[in-house]
Amino acid sequence: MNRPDKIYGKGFVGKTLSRFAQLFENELYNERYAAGDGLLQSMDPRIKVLVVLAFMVFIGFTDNCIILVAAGTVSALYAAASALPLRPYLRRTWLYLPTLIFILNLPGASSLLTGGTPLFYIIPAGNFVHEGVYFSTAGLNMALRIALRTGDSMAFAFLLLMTTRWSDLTCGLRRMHLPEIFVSILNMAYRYLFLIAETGTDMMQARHMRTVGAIKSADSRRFVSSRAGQLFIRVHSMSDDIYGAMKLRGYDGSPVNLRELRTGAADWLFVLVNVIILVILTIGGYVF
Amino acid sequence: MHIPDGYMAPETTIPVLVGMVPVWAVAAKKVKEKVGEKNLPTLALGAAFSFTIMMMNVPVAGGSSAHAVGAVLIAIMLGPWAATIAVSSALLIQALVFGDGGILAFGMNCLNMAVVMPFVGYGVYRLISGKKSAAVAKAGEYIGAGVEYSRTKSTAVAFGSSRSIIAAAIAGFVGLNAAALLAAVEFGIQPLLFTGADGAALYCPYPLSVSIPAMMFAHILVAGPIEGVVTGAAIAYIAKAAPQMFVSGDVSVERQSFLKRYKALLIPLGILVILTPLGLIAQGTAWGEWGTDEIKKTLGYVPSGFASMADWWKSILPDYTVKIFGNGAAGSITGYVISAVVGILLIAALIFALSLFVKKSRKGNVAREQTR
Repeated sequence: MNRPDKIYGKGFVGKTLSRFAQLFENELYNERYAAGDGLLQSMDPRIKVLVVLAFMVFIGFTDNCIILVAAGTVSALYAAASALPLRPYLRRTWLYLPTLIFILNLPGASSLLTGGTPLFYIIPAGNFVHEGVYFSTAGLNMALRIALRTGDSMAFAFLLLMTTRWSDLTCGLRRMHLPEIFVSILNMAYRYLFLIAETGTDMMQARHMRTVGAIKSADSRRFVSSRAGQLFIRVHSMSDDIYGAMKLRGYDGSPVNLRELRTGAADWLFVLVNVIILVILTIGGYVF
Repeated sequence: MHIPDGYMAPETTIPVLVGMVPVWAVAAKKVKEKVGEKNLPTLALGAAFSFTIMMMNVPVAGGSSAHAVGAVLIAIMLGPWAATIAVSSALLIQALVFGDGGILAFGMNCLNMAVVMPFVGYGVYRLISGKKSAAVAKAGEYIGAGVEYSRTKSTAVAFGSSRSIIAAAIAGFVGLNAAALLAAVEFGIQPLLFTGADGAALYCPYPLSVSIPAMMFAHILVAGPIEGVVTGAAIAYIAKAAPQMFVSGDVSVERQSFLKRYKALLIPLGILVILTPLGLIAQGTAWGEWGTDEIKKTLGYVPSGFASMADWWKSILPDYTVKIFGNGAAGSITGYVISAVVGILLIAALIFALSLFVKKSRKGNVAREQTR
């Protein structure tokens, strides 16, 4: 299937349509992966949330690059055990943001901000800058550490979101005492954002269909702004209808969740295994 | 501006996340107090709207494009507390479903984009649009923003006026830049607080001197104007295309500005302040305001009680003279004016305190009467 930016061009219409398409694509694939019968799919969402948070906190406090690589390997192993396609998983987690963060941190990793024994020079000493500009081991280690930490955090976040249905996730959050009002808002927002995105897609496609020749940038900005206003008007009138429909179906202010979550022996074993993994990683931090 | 996990120290992201809990609780309470469960669909759709706005690319010069956040637009339409909930929900969906923005950094992202941005933007909007053109959005009343709006009831006709549109545009610009500035400070304090044994930063390596200019340059020149244009133009469109969303016709009470309200009192007081230096022209001393030297001159001696108390109080402005302006006319006139202003303020404070006391005691009496 052709990507929207290939059909509609690389302008703002193409980019917006691409983002809307990604939204639907993401939902489609996440639902498919979450419906699988891999390791993480069969775990209680509450336990999954807690384990993922524990790994994130651990990663946040870890400075050792070797341990960070090991944590990344753990996430990849879990992805494999949960039958997630490894290439898209690794591409989504490691290809874009961690790489970008590494590149963005390079000026900070140079001798401009981070000192240390010179490893190699970018600008030799005495030419333009008196002491030259160089990279040290400490600087490169710093840039790598931040990129690895971001990648690891994303890898664990994606494990959670690719193996958990949205309804299970919010049910787990509710059982973890997140106030009902927020869970209800999240659930409704999640359902309706696809409808609104569809409306947005229609607006952008209609705009593309009736465009002939080049249009001034200012006119395009006016168009996007007025579509935002139009979207708000539609959303607002929709909310009245939804509330009416909810009342007719017996809504009395307290949402009912039909899903029952049960924590079994496998979940507790999962917790134990992850505690052991975290202990090993912590000890590894002292060894390496 | 979506801060990912791993780029900030957990020592900063976790406290901010915890600190956001009471903010969400207050926001939920404020919104719930007004209309109960009725707010649910509006807030949910507000969150979905916020999510969608962040996906819509806006063309920038040179063929590139950026996206708006829309938090100020939602704050103007639904109120700042509702915007806090709507944008927070949108950010949580982005973090949990799309991995856009961190999970531990969720609190920080919410502080920047769901609290600072809508509140600063809303404040700027109210400040510039003035009380007369403050929107009385039905949508806002519907979910709680009306608590604020109803205090400044005014004509809704002014909504959509060029002043309110410009106010919305400036509010969008300022709101986004306030959020960007806070994010820059959050980035910039990381190397100050967390450095490894080798001297390298443990998290974001850029200090405030780099993070603030880098963030603000991009936001003042590109993202801010885009946010401003989208906010202003969207408000203009809504006011034109859906005027039914706002209260039509005149609303009974119009709140007056402080100056207008107390005009009758302030003008005479101002004249009095201006006229106070006239006291310098008058000869002699006001009756009963004698100093020790004047009493000695009149009576031939100083009563012992008066002499013992005379030096007890040394005024800040002896003889109403400000020393830095010299002992001449300039010093005296300035001293007189300052004394008059300070005196009036003191008296006003006393009267205000008294009126408060009387009001409270009257309320207490009424309550007692009712219980009887």
